[in-house]
Amino acid sequence: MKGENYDELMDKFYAGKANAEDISILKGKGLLDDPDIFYAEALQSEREQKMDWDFEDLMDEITARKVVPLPRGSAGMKRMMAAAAVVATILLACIFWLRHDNRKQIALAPEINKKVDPAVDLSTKAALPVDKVKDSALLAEDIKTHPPAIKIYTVKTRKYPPSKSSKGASKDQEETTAKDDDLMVMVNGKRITDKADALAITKESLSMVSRDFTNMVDQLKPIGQIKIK
Amino acid sequence: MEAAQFKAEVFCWKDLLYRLALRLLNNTSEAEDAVQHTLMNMWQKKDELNKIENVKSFVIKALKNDCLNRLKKAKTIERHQGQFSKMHPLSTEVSNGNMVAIIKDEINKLPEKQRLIIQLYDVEGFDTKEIAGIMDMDEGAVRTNLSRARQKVKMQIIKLREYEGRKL
Repeated sequence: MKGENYDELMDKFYAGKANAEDISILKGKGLLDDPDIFYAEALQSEREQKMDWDFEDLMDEITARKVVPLPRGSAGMKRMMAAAAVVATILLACIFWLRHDNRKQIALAPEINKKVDPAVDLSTKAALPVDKVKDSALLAEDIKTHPPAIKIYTVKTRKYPPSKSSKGASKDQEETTAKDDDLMVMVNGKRITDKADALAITKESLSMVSRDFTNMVDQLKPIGQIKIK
Repeated sequence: MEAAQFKAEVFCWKDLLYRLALRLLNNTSEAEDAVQHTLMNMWQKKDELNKIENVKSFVIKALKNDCLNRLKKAKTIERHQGQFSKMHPLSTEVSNGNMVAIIKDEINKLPEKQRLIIQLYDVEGFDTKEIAGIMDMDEGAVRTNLSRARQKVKMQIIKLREYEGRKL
């Protein structure tokens, strides 16, 4: 007899279905000892346990508690509703996350460097009165320009399909706007598009700066005459 | 499903369910409650039961989940194990009469999984495939757990008998 067959005989013994021959085979092979016999007895007594409860008791309980059978397909409906709720939650989370992410991207938008028109003379020589400035180093210095602070606005836009007649006109307008944006100069937050105006304002402001600077240098001259004893 | 069909296909397993609940909960009144609750739930779903292939396994699974929920909720494991140790101190003389009771309680001390497997295989005569379906395990794991559980119980019996032999 193979090992598997002995296992089957043991299972039969534990199930309380082994006959005297089976038991003698197992005992002869030394597979059955006292603990096994006690264990089988315990299992047998376990099988005899019964619940003192009739079907009528269950029906009485059902009537007393007013247990109503659920309509057909209610479990399926519940599952469908649960699935729909999960999908809705995921969608809401996605929408919220995308909106949150958009705001972040706007806040982290890179600074745009304005291109300066090479035709415009931004040197100090052009702005400062050359005859009054004694310090030649000042005249050689380049004026440093800073790009204007970029204000971020969120604007709601709506796209309208362009009409056939206005198609060419809108294209021209777009080109000029792009060109204007390249040439745009901001002074004190005011947009200056005219080149002559921009130059005049720049010259005026720089002359004011140089005048103040000359006055300051004049006031500092007496310092050289101070003698320390 | 009509009442008669429900009685023949579901209610007929009440003793099996009771023994299983008793094995898990280790308390007769709680086991009765669990069986009653499970069967009432089944009555509520009686129209759905027609679609289920193996009603017996389905009912057993439902009872198992109910029992596990009860155990989680009230932490009855600790409470009943405490009661057991008070009821059956190890110094009790081991005679063949109370040996059966001791073995039963040794089974109750096994981990939940092993307890259930012993109950279903050795007491109720389920095959490993059915148990694997009920327990959501593979058949190999069922066999391993069964042999470990049996071994543990046998070892306890041997220890008890040795202890009694030394005492005498």
